[in-house]
Amino acid sequence: MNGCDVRLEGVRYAYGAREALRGVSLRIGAGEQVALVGPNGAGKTTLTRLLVALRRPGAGRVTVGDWEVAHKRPDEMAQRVGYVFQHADHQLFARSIRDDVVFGPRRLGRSEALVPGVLEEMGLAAAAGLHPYDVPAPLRKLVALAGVLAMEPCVLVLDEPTAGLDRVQRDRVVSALQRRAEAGVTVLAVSHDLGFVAEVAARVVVMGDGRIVADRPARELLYDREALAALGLRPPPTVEISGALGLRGSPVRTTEVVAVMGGIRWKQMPE
Amino acid sequence: MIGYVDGTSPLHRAHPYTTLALSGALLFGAFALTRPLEVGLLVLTAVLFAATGRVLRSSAQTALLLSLPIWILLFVLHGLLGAEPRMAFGPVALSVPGIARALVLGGRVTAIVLGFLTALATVSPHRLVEAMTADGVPFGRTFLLASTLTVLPRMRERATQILEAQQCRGLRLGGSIVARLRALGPLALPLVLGALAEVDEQVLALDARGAAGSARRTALDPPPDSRAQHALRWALLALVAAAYAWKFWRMRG
Repeated sequence: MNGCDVRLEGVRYAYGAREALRGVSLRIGAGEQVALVGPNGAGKTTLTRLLVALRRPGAGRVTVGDWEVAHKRPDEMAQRVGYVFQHADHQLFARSIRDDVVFGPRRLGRSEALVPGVLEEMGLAAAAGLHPYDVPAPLRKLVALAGVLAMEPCVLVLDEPTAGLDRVQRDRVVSALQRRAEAGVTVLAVSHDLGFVAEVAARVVVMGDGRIVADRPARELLYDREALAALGLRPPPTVEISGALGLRGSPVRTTEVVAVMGGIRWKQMPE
Repeated sequence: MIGYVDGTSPLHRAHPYTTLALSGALLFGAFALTRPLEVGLLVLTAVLFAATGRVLRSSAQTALLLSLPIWILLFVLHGLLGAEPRMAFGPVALSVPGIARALVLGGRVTAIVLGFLTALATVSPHRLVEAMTADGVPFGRTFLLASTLTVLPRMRERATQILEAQQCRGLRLGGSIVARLRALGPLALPLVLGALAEVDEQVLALDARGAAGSARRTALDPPPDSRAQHALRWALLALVAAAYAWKFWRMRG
Protein backbone atom coordinates (compact mmCIF):
# COMPACT_ATOMS: atom_id res chain seq x y z
CA MET A 1 0.00 0.00 0.00
CA ASN A 2 1.23 3.48 -0.84
CA GLY A 3 1.84 5.99 1.91
CA CYS A 4 -0.44 8.82 2.95
CA ASP A 5 0.74 12.24 3.94
CA VAL A 6 0.20 13.42 7.51
CA ARG A 7 -0.46 17.03 8.48
CA LEU A 8 -0.80 18.77 11.80
CA GLU A 9 -1.67 22.46 11.76
CA GLY A 10 -1.46 24.57 14.92
CA VAL A 11 -2.37 21.60 17.09
CA ARG A 12 -2.86 22.14 20.80
CA TYR A 13 -3.70 19.51 23.39
CA ALA A 14 -3.93 19.72 27.17
CA TYR A 15 -4.33 17.18 29.97
CA GLY A 16 -6.43 19.30 32.29
CA ALA A 17 -4.37 22.39 33.06
CA ARG A 18 -1.12 20.95 31.68
CA GLU A 19 -0.53 21.73 28.01
CA ALA A 20 1.09 18.76 26.26
CA LEU A 21 1.13 20.25 22.75
CA ARG A 22 1.49 23.99 22.22
CA GLY A 23 0.61 24.78 18.64
CA VAL A 24 2.43 22.02 16.76
CA SER A 25 2.55 22.18 12.97
CA LEU A 26 4.14 19.32 11.06
CA ARG A 27 3.88 17.88 7.58
CA ILE A 28 5.11 14.37 6.78
CA GLY A 29 5.05 13.57 3.09
CA ALA A 30 3.61 10.31 1.75
CA GLY A 31 6.27 7.61 1.98
CA GLU A 32 8.56 9.68 4.21
CA GLN A 33 10.34 8.12 7.21
CA VAL A 34 10.43 10.40 10.22
CA ALA A 35 11.73 9.85 13.73
CA LEU A 36 10.23 11.77 16.62
CA VAL A 37 12.71 12.24 19.45
CA GLY A 38 12.87 14.28 22.61
CA PRO A 39 12.84 13.94 26.38
CA ASN A 40 10.06 12.22 28.31
CA GLY A 41 7.02 14.46 28.63
CA ALA A 42 7.87 16.41 25.47
CA GLY A 43 4.52 15.50 23.86
CA LYS A 44 5.69 12.80 21.44
CA THR A 45 3.19 10.11 22.41
CA THR A 46 0.36 12.64 22.64
CA LEU A 47 1.13 13.77 19.08
CA THR A 48 1.05 10.21 17.75
CA ARG A 49 -2.23 9.48 19.51
CA LEU A 50 -3.85 12.38 17.71
CA LEU A 51 -3.10 10.61 14.42
CA VAL A 52 -5.31 7.63 15.34
CA ALA A 53 -8.14 9.66 16.90
CA LEU A 54 -7.38 8.40 20.40
CA ARG A 55 -7.13 12.07 21.38
CA ARG A 56 -8.93 15.06 19.88
CA PRO A 57 -6.95 18.28 19.58
CA GLY A 58 -8.11 21.22 21.67
CA ALA A 59 -7.26 23.44 18.71
CA GLY A 60 -5.83 22.95 15.23
CA ARG A 61 -6.28 20.32 12.57
CA VAL A 62 -4.94 16.81 11.93
CA THR A 63 -5.27 15.06 8.59
CA VAL A 64 -4.06 11.72 7.25
CA GLY A 65 -4.29 11.74 3.47
CA ASP A 66 -7.66 13.33 2.69
CA TRP A 67 -9.15 12.24 6.02
CA GLU A 68 -9.85 14.79 8.71
CA VAL A 69 -9.00 12.81 11.85
CA ALA A 70 -11.45 14.82 13.98
CA HIS A 71 -14.32 13.19 12.05
CA LYS A 72 -13.08 9.62 12.49
CA ARG A 73 -13.14 6.97 15.20
CA PRO A 74 -9.98 5.01 16.11
CA ASP A 75 -11.34 1.84 14.47
CA GLU A 76 -11.90 3.83 11.25
CA MET A 77 -8.40 5.32 11.42
CA ALA A 78 -7.06 1.75 11.62
CA GLN A 79 -7.85 1.49 7.89
CA ARG A 80 -4.99 3.89 7.25
CA VAL A 81 -2.81 4.17 10.32
CA GLY A 82 -1.16 1.21 12.04
CA TYR A 83 -0.19 2.08 15.60
CA VAL A 84 2.26 -0.04 17.59
CA PHE A 85 1.96 0.74 21.28
CA GLN A 86 4.92 0.89 23.61
CA HIS A 87 3.42 -1.87 25.76
CA ALA A 88 2.59 -4.77 23.48
CA ASP A 89 0.73 -6.66 26.18
CA HIS A 90 -2.18 -4.27 25.85
CA GLN A 91 -3.19 -5.63 22.48
CA LEU A 92 -2.49 -9.37 22.64
CA PHE A 93 -5.42 -11.57 23.53
CA ALA A 94 -5.81 -14.46 21.08
CA ARG A 95 -5.06 -18.10 21.83
CA SER A 96 -2.11 -18.17 19.49
CA ILE A 97 0.33 -15.72 17.99
CA ARG A 98 -1.04 -16.51 14.52
CA ASP A 99 -4.63 -15.72 15.60
CA ASP A 100 -3.49 -12.48 17.15
CA VAL A 101 -1.70 -11.34 14.00
CA VAL A 102 -4.76 -12.28 11.91
CA PHE A 103 -7.09 -10.21 14.15
CA GLY A 104 -6.34 -6.81 12.56
CA PRO A 105 -6.71 -7.81 8.88
CA ARG A 106 -9.90 -9.70 9.75
CA ARG A 107 -11.41 -6.70 11.54
CA LEU A 108 -10.58 -4.49 8.58
CA GLY A 109 -11.91 -7.02 6.07
CA ARG A 110 -8.51 -7.41 4.43
CA SER A 111 -6.74 -10.43 3.06
CA GLU A 112 -4.97 -12.70 5.52
CA ALA A 113 -2.52 -13.81 2.82
CA LEU A 114 0.17 -11.52 4.23
CA VAL A 115 0.14 -13.11 7.68
CA PRO A 116 2.56 -16.04 7.10
CA GLY A 117 5.06 -13.70 5.46
CA VAL A 118 4.87 -11.18 8.28
CA LEU A 119 5.31 -13.95 10.89
CA GLU A 120 8.38 -15.13 8.98
CA GLU A 121 9.69 -11.58 8.70
CA MET A 122 9.45 -11.11 12.49
CA GLY A 123 11.01 -14.51 13.21
CA LEU A 124 7.77 -15.78 14.70
CA ALA A 125 6.89 -18.55 12.24
CA ALA A 126 8.09 -21.34 14.56
CA ALA A 127 6.24 -19.85 17.54
CA ALA A 128 3.03 -19.04 15.63
CA GLY A 129 1.03 -21.74 17.42
CA LEU A 130 2.05 -20.64 20.92
CA HIS A 131 -0.03 -18.47 23.22
CA PRO A 132 1.31 -14.89 23.12
CA TYR A 133 1.79 -14.95 26.90
CA ASP A 134 3.94 -18.07 26.65
CA VAL A 135 6.71 -16.20 24.83
CA PRO A 136 9.07 -13.62 26.41
CA ALA A 137 8.11 -9.95 26.52
CA PRO A 138 10.42 -8.87 23.63
CA LEU A 139 8.83 -11.46 21.36
CA ARG A 140 5.38 -10.21 22.37
CA LYS A 141 6.51 -6.83 21.14
CA LEU A 142 7.33 -8.38 17.76
CA VAL A 143 3.91 -10.07 17.75
CA ALA A 144 2.29 -6.67 18.26
CA LEU A 145 4.32 -5.21 15.39
CA ALA A 146 3.50 -8.19 13.16
CA GLY A 147 -0.21 -7.66 13.94
CA VAL A 148 0.02 -4.08 12.69
CA LEU A 149 2.18 -4.87 9.63
CA ALA A 150 -0.38 -7.49 8.58
CA MET A 151 -3.01 -4.72 8.46
CA GLU A 152 -1.09 -3.07 5.58
CA PRO A 153 -1.52 0.50 6.82
CA CYS A 154 -0.42 3.43 4.66
CA VAL A 155 1.04 5.12 7.75
CA LEU A 156 2.98 3.23 10.41
CA VAL A 157 3.24 4.89 13.81
CA LEU A 158 5.53 3.18 16.29
CA ASP A 159 6.06 4.15 19.92
CA GLU A 160 9.48 2.99 21.15
CA PRO A 161 9.50 -0.07 18.87
CA THR A 162 12.97 -1.28 19.89
CA ALA A 163 12.76 -0.86 23.68
CA GLY A 164 13.76 -4.14 25.34
CA LEU A 165 14.71 -5.92 22.10
CA ASP A 166 18.02 -7.70 21.62
CA ARG A 167 20.26 -7.05 18.63
CA VAL A 168 18.70 -9.73 16.38
CA GLN A 169 15.15 -8.65 17.18
CA ARG A 170 16.06 -5.00 16.69
CA ASP A 171 17.55 -5.82 13.29
CA ARG A 172 14.32 -7.58 12.32
CA VAL A 173 12.33 -4.44 13.17
CA VAL A 174 14.79 -2.26 11.26
CA SER A 175 14.64 -4.52 8.18
CA ALA A 176 10.83 -4.66 8.29
CA LEU A 177 10.58 -0.87 8.44
CA GLN A 178 13.15 -0.41 5.68
CA ARG A 179 11.12 -2.75 3.47
CA ARG A 180 7.93 -0.78 4.22
CA ALA A 181 9.77 2.46 3.48
CA GLU A 182 10.88 1.05 0.11
CA ALA A 183 7.24 0.13 -0.56
CA GLY A 184 6.27 3.77 0.05
CA VAL A 185 4.65 3.43 3.46
CA THR A 186 4.88 6.54 5.63
CA VAL A 187 6.73 5.80 8.88
CA LEU A 188 6.68 7.85 12.07
CA ALA A 189 8.71 6.31 14.90
CA VAL A 190 9.00 7.67 18.42
CA SER A 191 12.33 6.56 19.85
CA HIS A 192 15.09 7.36 22.30
CA ASP A 193 17.36 4.95 20.41
CA LEU A 194 19.34 7.14 17.99
CA GLY A 195 21.03 4.03 16.56
CA PHE A 196 17.60 2.84 15.45
CA VAL A 197 16.70 6.34 14.25
CA ALA A 198 19.86 6.37 12.09
CA GLU A 199 18.80 3.08 10.47
CA VAL A 200 15.19 3.91 9.62
CA ALA A 201 14.65 7.68 9.48
CA ALA A 202 15.49 10.16 6.75
CA ARG A 203 14.29 13.06 8.86
CA VAL A 204 14.35 13.73 12.59
CA VAL A 205 11.82 15.91 14.41
CA VAL A 206 12.85 16.86 17.93
CA MET A 207 10.20 17.80 20.44
CA GLY A 208 10.59 19.64 23.72
CA ASP A 209 7.96 20.99 26.09
CA GLY A 210 5.09 20.46 23.67
CA ARG A 211 6.78 22.17 20.72
CA ILE A 212 8.93 21.16 17.77
CA VAL A 213 12.40 22.42 18.58
CA ALA A 214 14.26 20.96 15.59
CA ASP A 215 13.25 19.42 12.26
CA ARG A 216 16.21 18.39 10.12
CA PRO A 217 17.40 15.64 7.78
CA ALA A 218 18.67 12.72 9.88
CA ARG A 219 22.10 12.71 8.21
CA GLU A 220 22.58 16.40 8.99
CA LEU A 221 21.35 16.35 12.58
CA LEU A 222 23.12 13.13 13.60
CA TYR A 223 26.47 14.63 12.52
CA ASP A 224 25.81 17.93 14.30
CA ARG A 225 27.39 17.16 17.66
CA GLU A 226 26.67 20.60 19.09
CA ALA A 227 23.00 20.51 18.18
CA LEU A 228 22.67 16.99 19.60
CA ALA A 229 24.44 18.00 22.81
CA ALA A 230 22.13 21.01 23.16
CA LEU A 231 19.19 18.60 22.91
CA GLY A 232 20.76 16.25 25.46
CA LEU A 233 21.47 13.60 22.80
CA ARG A 234 24.58 11.75 21.65
CA PRO A 235 25.37 10.61 18.11
CA PRO A 236 24.60 6.96 17.35
CA PRO A 237 27.49 4.43 17.22
CA THR A 238 27.60 4.43 13.40
CA VAL A 239 28.19 8.18 13.41
CA GLU A 240 30.77 7.93 16.22
CA ILE A 241 32.68 5.24 14.29
CA SER A 242 32.44 7.13 10.99
CA GLY A 243 33.73 10.26 12.70
CA ALA A 244 36.58 8.43 14.44
CA LEU A 245 37.67 6.78 11.19
CA GLY A 246 37.11 9.92 9.14
CA LEU A 247 34.83 8.11 6.70
CA ARG A 248 33.60 10.13 3.76
CA GLY A 249 30.01 10.77 2.77
CA SER A 250 28.59 11.06 6.32
CA PRO A 251 27.24 7.49 6.50
CA VAL A 252 24.62 6.95 9.23
CA ARG A 253 23.26 3.47 8.52
CA THR A 254 25.25 0.34 9.29
CA THR A 255 25.07 -0.76 5.65
CA GLU A 256 26.41 2.63 4.55
CA VAL A 257 29.31 2.45 7.02
CA VAL A 258 30.15 -1.08 5.88
CA ALA A 259 29.97 -0.02 2.22
CA VAL A 260 32.31 2.93 2.78
CA MET A 261 34.71 0.81 4.84
CA GLY A 262 34.68 -1.87 2.14
CA GLY A 263 36.09 0.69 -0.28
CA ILE A 264 38.99 1.59 1.99
CA ARG A 265 42.37 0.11 1.24
CA TRP A 266 43.56 -0.83 4.69
CA LYS A 267 47.22 -0.45 5.45
CA GLN A 268 48.95 -3.09 7.56
CA MET A 269 50.08 -1.42 10.78
CA PRO A 270 53.78 -2.04 11.55
CA GLU A 271 54.25 -4.43 14.48
CA MET B 1 -14.22 7.98 40.21
CA ILE B 2 -12.99 5.21 42.53
CA GLY B 3 -9.54 5.37 44.09
CA TYR B 4 -7.12 7.79 45.67
CA VAL B 5 -7.20 11.39 44.49
CA ASP B 6 -4.24 13.54 45.43
CA GLY B 7 -5.17 16.53 47.56
CA THR B 8 -4.51 18.70 50.59
CA SER B 9 -7.87 18.52 52.37
CA PRO B 10 -8.07 17.93 56.13
CA LEU B 11 -8.87 14.26 55.42
CA HIS B 12 -5.83 13.94 53.16
CA ARG B 13 -3.64 15.49 55.85
CA ALA B 14 -5.14 13.50 58.74
CA HIS B 15 -3.53 10.29 59.92
CA PRO B 16 -4.87 7.47 57.69
CA TYR B 17 -6.32 5.67 60.73
CA THR B 18 -8.40 8.76 61.55
CA THR B 19 -9.98 8.94 58.10
CA LEU B 20 -10.57 5.19 58.13
CA ALA B 21 -12.10 5.45 61.61
CA LEU B 22 -14.52 8.12 60.36
CA SER B 23 -15.47 5.92 57.42
CA GLY B 24 -15.80 2.91 59.71
CA ALA B 25 -18.01 4.89 62.10
CA LEU B 26 -20.32 5.69 59.19
CA LEU B 27 -20.44 2.03 58.23
CA PHE B 28 -21.22 0.72 61.71
CA GLY B 29 -23.48 3.69 62.39
CA ALA B 30 -25.55 2.76 59.35
CA PHE B 31 -26.26 -0.64 60.87
CA ALA B 32 -27.15 0.83 64.26
CA LEU B 33 -29.27 3.82 63.18
CA THR B 34 -32.52 2.83 61.55
CA ARG B 35 -35.04 5.64 62.12
CA PRO B 36 -35.71 8.18 59.34
CA LEU B 37 -34.31 11.11 61.31
CA GLU B 38 -31.21 9.11 62.30
CA VAL B 39 -30.64 8.01 58.71
CA GLY B 40 -31.09 11.61 57.56
CA LEU B 41 -28.34 12.65 59.99
CA LEU B 42 -26.19 9.76 58.83
CA VAL B 43 -26.49 10.80 55.17
CA LEU B 44 -25.75 14.41 56.13
CA THR B 45 -22.65 13.26 58.03
CA ALA B 46 -21.50 11.23 55.00
CA VAL B 47 -21.97 14.30 52.79
CA LEU B 48 -20.01 16.48 55.26
CA PHE B 49 -17.31 13.79 55.40
CA ALA B 50 -16.95 13.84 51.60
CA ALA B 51 -17.06 17.65 51.53
CA THR B 52 -14.29 17.81 54.14
CA GLY B 53 -12.20 15.60 51.86
CA ARG B 54 -13.07 17.90 48.90
CA VAL B 55 -14.28 14.91 46.93
CA LEU B 56 -18.02 15.43 47.39
CA ARG B 57 -18.90 15.83 43.73
CA SER B 58 -16.99 12.86 42.36
CA SER B 59 -17.69 10.56 45.33
CA ALA B 60 -21.40 11.46 45.48
CA GLN B 61 -21.79 10.86 41.74
CA THR B 62 -20.13 7.45 41.99
CA ALA B 63 -22.02 6.57 45.19
CA LEU B 64 -25.35 7.40 43.56
CA LEU B 65 -24.42 5.44 40.45
CA LEU B 66 -23.38 2.40 42.51
CA SER B 67 -26.40 2.50 44.80
CA LEU B 68 -28.93 3.26 42.03
CA PRO B 69 -29.75 -0.42 41.33
CA ILE B 70 -30.32 -0.95 45.05
CA TRP B 71 -32.58 2.14 45.22
CA ILE B 72 -34.63 0.84 42.28
CA LEU B 73 -34.89 -2.63 43.82
CA LEU B 74 -35.91 -1.19 47.20
CA PHE B 75 -38.60 1.04 45.70
CA VAL B 76 -40.01 -1.74 43.57
CA LEU B 77 -39.93 -4.28 46.40
CA HIS B 78 -41.23 -2.12 49.26
CA GLY B 79 -43.38 0.15 47.15
CA LEU B 80 -45.28 -2.68 45.50
CA LEU B 81 -45.34 -5.20 48.32
CA GLY B 82 -45.48 -2.86 51.32
CA ALA B 83 -48.39 -2.41 53.71
CA GLU B 84 -51.41 -0.08 53.38
CA PRO B 85 -52.11 2.83 52.92
CA ARG B 86 -51.23 3.27 49.26
CA MET B 87 -50.75 6.31 47.11
CA ALA B 88 -51.35 6.43 43.37
CA PHE B 89 -48.26 7.19 41.25
CA GLY B 90 -49.65 7.26 37.73
CA PRO B 91 -50.92 3.79 36.86
CA VAL B 92 -49.50 2.11 40.03
CA ALA B 93 -50.47 2.42 43.68
CA LEU B 94 -47.42 2.34 45.96
CA SER B 95 -47.29 1.60 49.65
CA VAL B 96 -46.57 4.75 51.68
CA PRO B 97 -44.84 2.91 54.57
CA GLY B 98 -43.00 0.84 51.94
CA ILE B 99 -41.66 3.98 50.24
CA ALA B 100 -40.60 5.36 53.63
CA ARG B 101 -38.83 2.07 54.39
CA ALA B 102 -37.10 2.12 50.98
CA LEU B 103 -35.91 5.69 51.63
CA VAL B 104 -34.43 4.67 54.98
CA LEU B 105 -32.70 1.57 53.62
CA GLY B 106 -31.47 3.37 50.51
CA GLY B 107 -30.15 6.23 52.62
CA ARG B 108 -28.18 3.83 54.80
CA VAL B 109 -26.68 2.08 51.76
CA THR B 110 -25.77 5.39 50.12
CA ALA B 111 -24.17 6.69 53.33
CA ILE B 112 -22.04 3.54 53.59
CA VAL B 113 -20.97 3.73 49.93
CA LEU B 114 -20.25 7.47 50.12
CA GLY B 115 -18.19 7.02 53.29
CA PHE B 116 -16.22 4.17 51.74
CA LEU B 117 -15.55 6.09 48.50
CA THR B 118 -14.47 9.17 50.45
CA ALA B 119 -12.00 7.08 52.46
CA LEU B 120 -10.71 5.50 49.23
CA ALA B 121 -10.28 8.93 47.65
CA THR B 122 -8.54 10.56 50.62
CA VAL B 123 -6.42 7.83 52.22
CA SER B 124 -3.14 7.56 50.35
CA PRO B 125 -2.19 3.85 50.10
CA HIS B 126 1.45 4.86 50.57
CA ARG B 127 0.73 6.75 53.82
CA LEU B 128 -1.43 3.92 55.09
CA VAL B 129 1.33 1.38 54.44
CA GLU B 130 3.82 3.65 56.21
CA ALA B 131 1.49 4.02 59.20
CA MET B 132 1.00 0.26 59.41
CA THR B 133 4.72 -0.39 59.00
CA ALA B 134 5.43 2.04 61.86
CA ASP B 135 2.98 0.00 63.96
CA GLY B 136 4.88 -3.22 63.17
CA VAL B 137 2.23 -4.79 60.92
CA PRO B 138 3.90 -7.56 58.83
CA PHE B 139 4.77 -6.60 55.25
CA GLY B 140 2.50 -9.26 53.70
CA ARG B 141 -0.58 -7.68 55.25
CA THR B 142 0.37 -4.12 54.40
CA PHE B 143 1.15 -5.15 50.82
CA LEU B 144 -2.19 -6.95 50.52
CA LEU B 145 -4.04 -3.88 51.76
CA ALA B 146 -2.12 -1.47 49.54
CA SER B 147 -2.67 -3.72 46.51
CA THR B 148 -6.39 -3.87 47.24
CA LEU B 149 -6.63 -0.09 47.52
CA THR B 150 -4.71 0.53 44.31
CA VAL B 151 -6.11 -2.29 42.19
CA LEU B 152 -9.15 -0.41 40.89
CA PRO B 153 -7.38 2.68 39.54
CA ARG B 154 -4.64 0.50 38.06
CA MET B 155 -7.13 -1.83 36.39
CA ARG B 156 -9.07 1.17 35.06
CA GLU B 157 -5.91 2.68 33.58
CA ARG B 158 -4.90 -0.63 32.04
CA ALA B 159 -8.42 -1.18 30.67
CA THR B 160 -8.29 2.23 28.96
CA GLN B 161 -4.93 1.40 27.38
CA ILE B 162 -6.20 -1.99 26.16
CA LEU B 163 -9.35 -0.40 24.81
CA GLU B 164 -7.29 2.09 22.82
CA ALA B 165 -4.89 -0.58 21.54
CA GLN B 166 -7.74 -2.77 20.28
CA GLN B 167 -9.56 0.15 18.68
CA CYS B 168 -6.37 0.88 16.78
CA ARG B 169 -6.56 -2.65 15.39
CA GLY B 170 -10.04 -2.00 14.03
CA LEU B 171 -12.15 -3.16 16.97
CA ARG B 172 -15.43 -1.26 17.04
CA LEU B 173 -16.96 -0.94 20.47
CA GLY B 174 -20.49 0.11 19.50
CA GLY B 175 -23.12 -1.76 17.52
CA SER B 176 -25.41 -4.63 18.44
CA ILE B 177 -25.30 -6.58 21.69
CA VAL B 178 -23.66 -9.50 19.87
CA ALA B 179 -20.95 -7.18 18.51
CA ARG B 180 -20.40 -5.74 21.99
CA LEU B 181 -20.16 -9.21 23.51
CA ARG B 182 -17.66 -10.18 20.82
CA ALA B 183 -15.56 -7.14 21.74
CA LEU B 184 -15.33 -8.36 25.34
CA GLY B 185 -12.73 -11.03 24.57
CA PRO B 186 -10.08 -8.70 23.13
CA LEU B 187 -10.66 -6.34 26.06
CA ALA B 188 -11.02 -8.66 29.04
CA LEU B 189 -8.34 -11.22 28.22
CA PRO B 190 -5.35 -8.83 28.05
CA LEU B 191 -6.67 -7.14 31.18
CA VAL B 192 -6.75 -10.36 33.20
CA LEU B 193 -3.65 -11.98 31.66
CA GLY B 194 -1.68 -8.75 31.92
CA ALA B 195 -2.67 -8.31 35.56
CA LEU B 196 -1.68 -11.91 36.36
CA ALA B 197 1.68 -11.50 34.59
CA GLU B 198 2.27 -8.25 36.48
CA VAL B 199 1.44 -9.82 39.84
CA ASP B 200 3.72 -12.74 39.06
CA GLU B 201 6.63 -10.42 38.30
CA GLN B 202 5.87 -8.22 41.29
CA VAL B 203 5.87 -11.17 43.70
CA LEU B 204 9.19 -12.41 42.32
CA ALA B 205 10.67 -8.91 42.59
CA LEU B 206 9.45 -8.56 46.18
CA ASP B 207 10.78 -11.99 47.14
CA ALA B 208 14.13 -11.09 45.59
CA ARG B 209 14.19 -7.97 47.77
CA GLY B 210 13.57 -9.94 50.95
CA ALA B 211 9.94 -8.97 51.42
CA ALA B 212 9.13 -12.40 52.85
CA GLY B 213 11.56 -11.91 55.74
CA SER B 214 10.21 -11.70 59.27
CA ALA B 215 12.39 -8.81 60.45
CA ARG B 216 10.58 -5.67 61.58
CA ARG B 217 10.70 -3.06 58.84
CA THR B 218 11.53 0.58 59.35
CA ALA B 219 8.91 3.09 58.26
CA LEU B 220 10.77 5.75 56.29
CA ASP B 221 8.09 8.41 56.31
CA PRO B 222 5.36 7.59 58.85
CA PRO B 223 2.42 10.03 58.76
CA PRO B 224 2.26 12.33 61.80
CA ASP B 225 -0.31 11.47 64.44
CA SER B 226 -1.54 13.64 67.30
CA ARG B 227 -3.23 13.23 70.65
CA ALA B 228 -6.30 15.01 69.30
CA GLN B 229 -6.61 12.52 66.42
CA HIS B 230 -5.98 9.63 68.78
CA ALA B 231 -8.74 10.94 71.06
CA LEU B 232 -11.06 11.42 68.07
CA ARG B 233 -10.61 7.77 67.04
CA TRP B 234 -11.48 6.59 70.56
CA ALA B 235 -14.42 8.98 70.62
CA LEU B 236 -15.70 7.53 67.35
CA LEU B 237 -15.43 4.03 68.77
CA ALA B 238 -17.36 5.14 71.85
CA LEU B 239 -19.97 6.82 69.65
CA VAL B 240 -20.53 3.66 67.62
CA ALA B 241 -20.74 1.61 70.82
CA ALA B 242 -23.29 4.11 72.19
CA ALA B 243 -25.32 3.89 68.95
CA TYR B 244 -25.49 0.10 69.28
CA ALA B 245 -26.35 0.36 72.97
CA TRP B 246 -29.14 2.80 72.04
CA LYS B 247 -30.37 0.40 69.37
CA PHE B 248 -30.49 -2.61 71.71
CA TRP B 249 -32.07 -0.57 74.53
CA ARG B 250 -34.78 0.55 72.11
CA MET B 251 -35.31 -3.01 70.89
CA ARG B 252 -35.81 -4.20 74.48
CA GLY B 253 -38.16 -1.31 75.20
